[in-house]
Amino acid sequence: MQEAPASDHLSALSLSPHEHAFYGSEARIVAPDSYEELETIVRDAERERRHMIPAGLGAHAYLGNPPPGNVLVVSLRKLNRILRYEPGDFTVGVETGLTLSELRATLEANGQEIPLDLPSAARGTVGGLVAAAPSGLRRGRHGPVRAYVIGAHALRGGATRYKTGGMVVKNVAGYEVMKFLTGSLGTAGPIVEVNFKLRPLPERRAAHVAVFQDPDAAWRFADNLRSRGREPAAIWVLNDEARRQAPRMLESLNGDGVAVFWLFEGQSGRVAWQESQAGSILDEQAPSRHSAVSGSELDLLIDFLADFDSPGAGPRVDLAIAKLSALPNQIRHVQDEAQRVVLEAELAPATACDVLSGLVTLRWSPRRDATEANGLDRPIADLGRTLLAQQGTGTLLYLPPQVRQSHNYLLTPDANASLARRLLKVFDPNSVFCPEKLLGPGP
Amino acid sequence: MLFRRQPRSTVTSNPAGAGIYAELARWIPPERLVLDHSELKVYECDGLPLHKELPGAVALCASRQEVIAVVRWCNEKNVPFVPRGAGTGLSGGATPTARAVVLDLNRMNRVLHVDLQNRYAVVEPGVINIKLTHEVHADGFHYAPDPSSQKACTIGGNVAENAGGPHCLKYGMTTDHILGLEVVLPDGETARLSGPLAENSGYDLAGLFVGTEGTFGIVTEITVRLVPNPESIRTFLAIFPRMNLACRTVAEITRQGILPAALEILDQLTIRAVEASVFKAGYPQDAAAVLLIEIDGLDAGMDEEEQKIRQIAKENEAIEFRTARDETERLKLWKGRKGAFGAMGRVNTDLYVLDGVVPRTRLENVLNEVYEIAKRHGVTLANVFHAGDGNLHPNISYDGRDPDERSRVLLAGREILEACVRAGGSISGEHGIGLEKMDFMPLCFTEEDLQLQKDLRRAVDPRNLSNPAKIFPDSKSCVEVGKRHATLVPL
Ligand SMILES: Cc1cc2nc3c(=O)[nH]c(=O)nc-3n(C[C@H](O)[C@H](O)[C@H](O)COP(=O)(O)OP(=O)(O)OC[C@H]3O[C@@H](n4cnc5c(N)ncnc54)[C@H](O)[C@@H]3O)c2cc1C
Repeated sequence: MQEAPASDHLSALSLSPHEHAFYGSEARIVAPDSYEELETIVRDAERERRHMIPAGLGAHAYLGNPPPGNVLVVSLRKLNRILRYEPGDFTVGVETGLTLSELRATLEANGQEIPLDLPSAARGTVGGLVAAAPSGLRRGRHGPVRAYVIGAHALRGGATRYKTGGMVVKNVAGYEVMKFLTGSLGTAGPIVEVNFKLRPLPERRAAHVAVFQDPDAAWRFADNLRSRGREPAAIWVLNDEARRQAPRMLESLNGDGVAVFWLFEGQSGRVAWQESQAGSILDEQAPSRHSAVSGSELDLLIDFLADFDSPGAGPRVDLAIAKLSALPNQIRHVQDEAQRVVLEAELAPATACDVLSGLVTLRWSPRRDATEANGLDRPIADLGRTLLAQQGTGTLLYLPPQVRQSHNYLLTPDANASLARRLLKVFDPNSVFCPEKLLGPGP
Repeated sequence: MLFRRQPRSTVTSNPAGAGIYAELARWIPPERLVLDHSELKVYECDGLPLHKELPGAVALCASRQEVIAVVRWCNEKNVPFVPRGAGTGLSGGATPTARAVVLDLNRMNRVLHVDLQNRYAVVEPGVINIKLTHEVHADGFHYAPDPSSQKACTIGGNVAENAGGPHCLKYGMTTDHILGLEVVLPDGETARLSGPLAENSGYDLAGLFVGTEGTFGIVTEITVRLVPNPESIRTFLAIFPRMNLACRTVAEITRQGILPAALEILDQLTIRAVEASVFKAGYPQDAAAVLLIEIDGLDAGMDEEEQKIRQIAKENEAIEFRTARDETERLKLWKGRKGAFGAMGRVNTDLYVLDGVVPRTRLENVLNEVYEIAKRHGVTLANVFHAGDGNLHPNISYDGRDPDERSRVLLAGREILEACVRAGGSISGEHGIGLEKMDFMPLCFTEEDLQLQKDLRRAVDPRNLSNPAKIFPDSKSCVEVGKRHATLVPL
């Protein structure tokens, strides 16, 4: 491909630690300054049939099935402007290279937010957020990323730029192509601009943590809070291992046993009432500890939970992370089964359950001896079986780079893979945007 | 008066001949197969009477198997097909293409499964929107999207249009409430897209399918989210001497971070039409505008929220601020709003309901423009709209028998939508594109934007059989926007 326009970026840029580990030593990186330059890069890649991956800062490069070697990482980090922002409209349009922390700061200054508790906020970009579509801490209350994307500008095969949706909160003109792009892991081509709808920042947040020695009591409390808990914004249950992995400064998580975290937000008077109601529900179960969490401790706790599904800034050789989706009333069962499966391989799993959404995040440390019983093959196969039996779904969010290739990203097969591939061809007729990243190798 | 569109080049022609539809009797019992000309006329349009076309046949399908059989037959014979719910669509989406087979889905009207613990239900597409709420209301839940037509329209039609409604301001559009779909694809294959789980493997195909107006096949089963009933609801009517003051009240409520369940404005002409109709709600007829405000949620904090809203209305010179004292009064206030289209329909022989969206801060300016356009073209225009999310519904009452008035109406309609787009908005907030607005799509999208969407459609429906000739302008009208209406000829 024509490297010339990118040559100075090549010298100035380097792959992120995750990109380096997961894309291999042959991977190269470019960062276009303009849409035109991006178009040239895509056109050249297509001509040369060279695989390319749109990226931001490479914070989520571990997601998905690994691309073939010699991949070109196209970082959109230089396309990072806030293009359209009229706070009164409660919408914002930005380039996807904008960092999440910058976006958050701008919105917060105007009393607004995208209520997603952006994980890796300091590291990631808007493009990564949309392409990876992480769940967010308050998903059960505010919905997924896709609910906030109202428009996008992107590139497809042939370096054709297109727009979908718009800058209004209600819009049914044309197909909602944004839905296909959100969570596509970049396989539908580079997304260059995204429009979001916004919400007002809550007037007040009130967070609590209770630790229970009896796991049954913890789950009973979480269930009661869900069913009569007066509109909580989040309820999470952390098993003992997960609780122990929290930073030591999080005093509320000290002690032994299962921790429950819950959050209310909104108008001050209402939040106070919600807290007291939850307090009565809590009294029924007698926790060993209970604390209200606020200020910097709450920020730390939110960061810990929001980052629970990520390996952090760099690759780890001793970590596996899976995310399982179940019906909310089966979440405990699915969590117990998942724990059992991993424990059978004599490993201690950490689980964090988003009770309102029915999502279980599972982290464990596979042993380093790469034998059959290395703590991966069997648990992964068993997790897949467990999910199928419970009609759940799951993804292997993180595996150490050296074994990533041996396991499919999706823990449960996608029944509509062939339809999805047909649609994907529209975006990527020459299969250069690493189509296997999400669905795995084609038939 | 009827108007017939001249045949369009994009329409798949039916080489089969008239008698061939009788073959459908192999799968559809005769009492559910409509072939008779006079009965077919019932299906020649939806809620947009500007376009009419006779279908070749109508199959009143009662099961997924029947849908599959009809779709397969259409594939075999190269006959286009058009899914149809209650036919309340306002953009011609369910209006048949010439000689197409219409699949009427109203008999697929069972609520198949309700899971209150996990807050979802599985329904057939012909379930009437409000019926689902009736089914679960006593157990403390409801289905949130509430188009004003909710007593008649089907959830299948809502999915196809991505329908909205007054309470979508707080609760989101239909797409935000769809968890999964079962779809009979245009080739007769069945696909299950997502389901009741929060996260599903792979691409969000269910999300992509919502709002495709029947062009991606036929939805035969829908998994929807159920929302807990709010503990408390308060409904207010703020009365204003000028429309701009009502708009400013809306802007200020939103600016202060209050998220009401609904914020609906009716202008004077609408108020008068409502008050003269069976939908009479006690709105003051001398007011320039009324703003219907509803807040809901936990009882705690309601007083404070009400107080803030009252204050904002007062600061914006509201003449009066009424509170519905009980459920009867509340329903009465809503009756006027929900019956507004019906009431406007009585003003003249025909009604053209427009549906544009603008960014919230542009509402006031665009409304001024809308009235100015109506004045310039000498048409009778009233506004009733979802003010909270900038979704305008200018209604033009006219006499469709007068060709001159009709063409002025169409011209005014187009200029209004142009004004919405110029202000940064869109040509449809909830009613869809259908036949009505396909030629307006280039106002919002470039050739490349449209090509992508057409390519997606082709990937799902390579033979262009599923509700063809909708949404996208043909290549000729891409160049000559707006000419198509000129091809309407009186019968
Ligand atoms: C008085 C009045 C008030 C209204 N108020 C609102 C409002 O507040 N908000 C709003 O959004 N709309 C409103 N509408 C418009 C209309 O009611 C909605 O668009 C509704 O979603 C249409 O549902 P339906 O069952 O009547 O569908 P139809 O009109 O029968 O069909 C609509 C479209 O959906 C397709 N379709 C139908 N069923 C299926 C299926 N199972 N699978 C695939 N495609 C299918 C059809 O082909 C067509 O393209 C109103 C209409 C009226 C007459």
